Amino acid sequence: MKRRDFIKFSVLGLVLFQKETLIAKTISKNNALVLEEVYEILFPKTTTMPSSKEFNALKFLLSTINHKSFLDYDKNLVINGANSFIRSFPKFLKLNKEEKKELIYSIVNDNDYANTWLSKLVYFGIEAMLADPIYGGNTNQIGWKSINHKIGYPRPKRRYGKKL
Amino acid sequence: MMYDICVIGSGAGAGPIIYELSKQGHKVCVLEKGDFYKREDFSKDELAVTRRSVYNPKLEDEYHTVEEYINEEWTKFPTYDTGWNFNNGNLVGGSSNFMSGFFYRLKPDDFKLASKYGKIKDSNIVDWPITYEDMEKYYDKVEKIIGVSGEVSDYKYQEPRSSKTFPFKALDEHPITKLIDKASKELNFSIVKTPRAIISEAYKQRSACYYSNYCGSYGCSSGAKGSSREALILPALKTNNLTIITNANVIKLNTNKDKKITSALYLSKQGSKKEVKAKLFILAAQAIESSRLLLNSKDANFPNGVANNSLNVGKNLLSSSGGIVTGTFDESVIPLKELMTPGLFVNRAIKDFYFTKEFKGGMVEMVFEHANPIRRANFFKWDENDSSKLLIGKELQDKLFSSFTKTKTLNMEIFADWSSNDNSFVSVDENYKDKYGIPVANIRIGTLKHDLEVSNFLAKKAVKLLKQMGAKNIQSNIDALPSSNLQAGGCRFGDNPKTSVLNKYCQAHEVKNLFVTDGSFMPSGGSVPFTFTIYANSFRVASYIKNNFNKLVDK
Repeated sequence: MKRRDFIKFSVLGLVLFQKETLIAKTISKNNALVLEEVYEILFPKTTTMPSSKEFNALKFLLSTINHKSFLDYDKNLVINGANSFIRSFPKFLKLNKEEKKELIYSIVNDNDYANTWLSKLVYFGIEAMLADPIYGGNTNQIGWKSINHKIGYPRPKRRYGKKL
Repeated sequence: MMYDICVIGSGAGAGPIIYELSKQGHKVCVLEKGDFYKREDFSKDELAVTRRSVYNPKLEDEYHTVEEYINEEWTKFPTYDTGWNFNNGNLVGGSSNFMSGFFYRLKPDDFKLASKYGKIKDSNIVDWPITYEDMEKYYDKVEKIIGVSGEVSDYKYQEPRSSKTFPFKALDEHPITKLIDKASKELNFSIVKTPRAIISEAYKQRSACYYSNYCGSYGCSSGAKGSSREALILPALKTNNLTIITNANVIKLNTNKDKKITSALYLSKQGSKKEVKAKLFILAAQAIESSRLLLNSKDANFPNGVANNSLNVGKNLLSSSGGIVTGTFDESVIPLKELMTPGLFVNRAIKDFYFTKEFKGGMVEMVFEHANPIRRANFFKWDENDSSKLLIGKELQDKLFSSFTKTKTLNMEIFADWSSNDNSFVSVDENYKDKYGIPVANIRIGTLKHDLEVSNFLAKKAVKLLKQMGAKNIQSNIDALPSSNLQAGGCRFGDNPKTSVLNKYCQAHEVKNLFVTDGSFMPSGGSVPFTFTIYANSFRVASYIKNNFNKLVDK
């Protein structure tokens, strides 16, 4: 079962990765649910670090992905990757927590497309955790506090460097 | 309106001209491609400043092509594919807003490398048409007007100075300097302290540095950093002789039959074409874009581009190569509280190997990795032992926590001289155009094997020092690739119009009313960042123009 799904994701993913040129428009509700669950596996709560839900990884992504500065390539990869993942693993949301984790761990370093997609999600998860809270993540500076980061001042009053 | 002087660009090469000539009473018009940001507009927003690069145009819209030698042929890559951005800040003050500000002068022998070492095989190294003595008083002027903080170091290659001290006391230093100095003494390395164009005390309208922990890459929120905007343009505005037209993208210089520039044609923010007329034109758009503008300004008088009938424009582009050596520190060698002290400067360099008997060496500058937590964390997502293995889950989270809370990485940046050569140049290609339909600059980045050998020689010194300090996980990443923010050459100055674009005053040999005052003039770059020398040279050119203005604009 997993082997078959793995191959399916790999082939489908590669096709999408190489051929899809249209810019994906936005994250659908279903994609958002999947991304939120995937993010919890990528960034689980630990004794020292907050979970993706605590630093609002999904909210950050939804809040930034449509800005003109978000690269089209990245936007395509995030959204098309999610579509491809859902097509390959349609029952993902129905799996229990351990099964979900097992699935993600089984593909992350064994499938090039999965590796590319998940590393991009990790990157934007890091942005959500450590960018200024003005962008929707890093709730109450939870990311900065967790790593004892010394904040730089002044903090932004407007997003994307807009003049005051 | 006919201005006395039109300046294209507003960074380090433009600022001194703007400052000096507007103060002398000339009507100066600046055409700046970007916007005018005030001090209070800047913040320490890592996402905006370094991840989304908001002070630059979108790469898909305005890119470069880079030519690399791969499989025995030159292959062209548009930078929107690679993400390698050679735009360094479109705003008033240009990239000087974002510099780290370590300000080293060139040394007397940097002006005569060909005489001192001979010509390296396949290089185009030449002596400068001026000497260190010609430049010294302008270096001194920069230290006072731009504001340089520091302590003069006593070492073998310290250059002669007319002022014994820097005008501002040294900035506060990070505790790791104790470890560096101890290890340096043990290795018999000289302790060289880094001067910085960041003022440690309030000066005129500028406040002192407040050690924000976010300096390099960020606009300064106190005015301490000696950007062209803070130190020169804001004071120049008070003369009422200065007009700044922002969001003016200059696309062509128009000439007349006398081979003089009559106007600069630019696109406004709304996309309409406009013109500025002036008696004298100063080009300072940063080296690559300056060559691009000249090459794209083709007309009957200059079919190969303005000032390019000799076919020298764009040639002998310089950058700074070398790469980086890194070492990680933890509480095994320095108390954690001291190690984690934010904001203070390292301000140390290895300069004992700047020259050797056999070859021109270079410098190693020490700096903690920038505070930027997103950038740092992104490195930690890969397994140290298998760089293709993505870390996720608890393993990733634990690594993020321990790396940020228990370690700090010191970078040793290698600065070797970039040897000018036939395969390092700027050209334009009609097949690659920006969103306005203007051919983009193509950058061929050929380097000589010699430069890599010098970099490796310097890297060994850096590794030695890091080992002596007790650093862990020492890694060398040495390469001959250019630093996209360090650009010079392309319009080298010289006495011979057949082999140079500019004369020794940076006036175009072929166009009497054109001066180029960014780093384009430099035949060699020294083993240091170029900004200090660009500022000093621009003051030198400003002095020449001030003394000869009527003669220069005389019909």
